[in-house]
Amino acid sequence: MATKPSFSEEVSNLMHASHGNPLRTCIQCGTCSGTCPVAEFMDYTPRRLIEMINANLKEEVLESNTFWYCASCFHCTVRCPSEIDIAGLMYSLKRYSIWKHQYPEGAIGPVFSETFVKSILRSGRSYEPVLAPTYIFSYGVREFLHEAHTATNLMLKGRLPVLPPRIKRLENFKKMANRIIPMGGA
Amino acid sequence: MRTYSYFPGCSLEKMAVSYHQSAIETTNKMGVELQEIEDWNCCGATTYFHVDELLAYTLVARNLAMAEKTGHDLVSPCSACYKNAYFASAYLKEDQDLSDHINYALEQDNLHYSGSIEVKHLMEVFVDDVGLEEIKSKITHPLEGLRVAPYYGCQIVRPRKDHEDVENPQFFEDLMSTVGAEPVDFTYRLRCCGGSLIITSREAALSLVRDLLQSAVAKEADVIATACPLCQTNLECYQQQVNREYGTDFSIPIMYFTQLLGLSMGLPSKKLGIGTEFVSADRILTFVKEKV
Repeated sequence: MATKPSFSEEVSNLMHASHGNPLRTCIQCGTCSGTCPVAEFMDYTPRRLIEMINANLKEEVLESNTFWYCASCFHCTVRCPSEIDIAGLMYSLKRYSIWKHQYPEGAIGPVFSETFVKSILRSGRSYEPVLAPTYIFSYGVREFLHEAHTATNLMLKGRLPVLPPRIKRLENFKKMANRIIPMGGA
Repeated sequence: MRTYSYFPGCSLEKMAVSYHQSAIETTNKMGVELQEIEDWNCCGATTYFHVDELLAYTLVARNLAMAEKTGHDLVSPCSACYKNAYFASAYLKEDQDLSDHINYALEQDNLHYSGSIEVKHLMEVFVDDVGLEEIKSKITHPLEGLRVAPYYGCQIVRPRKDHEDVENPQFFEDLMSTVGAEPVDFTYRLRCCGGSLIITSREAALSLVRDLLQSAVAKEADVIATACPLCQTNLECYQQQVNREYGTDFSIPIMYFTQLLGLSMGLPSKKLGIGTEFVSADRILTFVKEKV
């Protein structure tokens, strides 16, 4: 009888391109946590998160903010003695949590990522102004004003685009994306 | 004449247009031609990989396929675009299933990627392909006395691609010495600038930017040199926000390595996009001295 894969096995096999991630080989040395520049902001350090995955603590893992704090600097990845691609693991957890619609309350990351992807599929290139509403309303007044000031400065220096850029063969581009993820009438 | 397929990436269209201008000017001066890939699309940045890995590689593959058509290696000035293109190309070469699947999608745009080209960061073109000796011969206005903090950031060196030294690279320092400047050794030269956390986790990103600025200023750097538009934006455009948040008074220019290179080759500052900074680069121009 087929058995359901454990959470740890699922997460270990969430990467197509790099052929899985050997999470089970983690020796809990903590090099990743010591290396991570944002570990202090995470509710669980990378080392601890890997142990939790291996213990199949699925709910706790998905509710943690750890992987949403990963900036993809890959410092942990190049140092891991067990050759676990830890930054790659953080990507796969982001994907997993987006599929399951299960993430920490108030996290900007998931909404920002989804909006970003949709905006690229609409025009082929990224355009900062459409992304602002995904995060700006979660800011406090002070942060909002700081951000508005920075944006104004960028505009004055001619560094913010006025119109969204668009690739030429957009229809082909959309059909191409459709062959990977069917999106109905996209 | 060396020719490359040039993938500028979305940031260089506007936010980092000065990087684009200085890349074109300096490569021209070195006899290198950057042919912009026709109709290129966004490489997916880091964000696309949060949503779907296969689609992310497909987006990158479209650019690779268009570059391959020209027969020239792909070069990207953005570290994140470079990393995406490098690994997408490598995975497509080694994984037949992935390659079949993605090429099936690419058919919709009459494209195919077979993996016959190399992917390089713009700095590799200068350091490895052109070479420091050749660059040196073009330096007419060495930046003598200028203390530069060469900031690598992340994805130009990580993840590891081959057997290169990811813990202690020296190529950026070497390039800065070649233009006559003095590279300073600062603690956080390989640490993250926060990347897109500046949007999703502002507090964390600002603390990283603060640490970086502090680390360079502690070594009395006059300028921080970067090789990535996101690093430049975080370190420069958010410098003021760091000052407000932490009560610091940082005011250090953040320039692209191509701008410093261009100055040392006697190119006019305006052509290098200098003058659109938040933190003025005027005082850096005083270091430009004609060779006697």
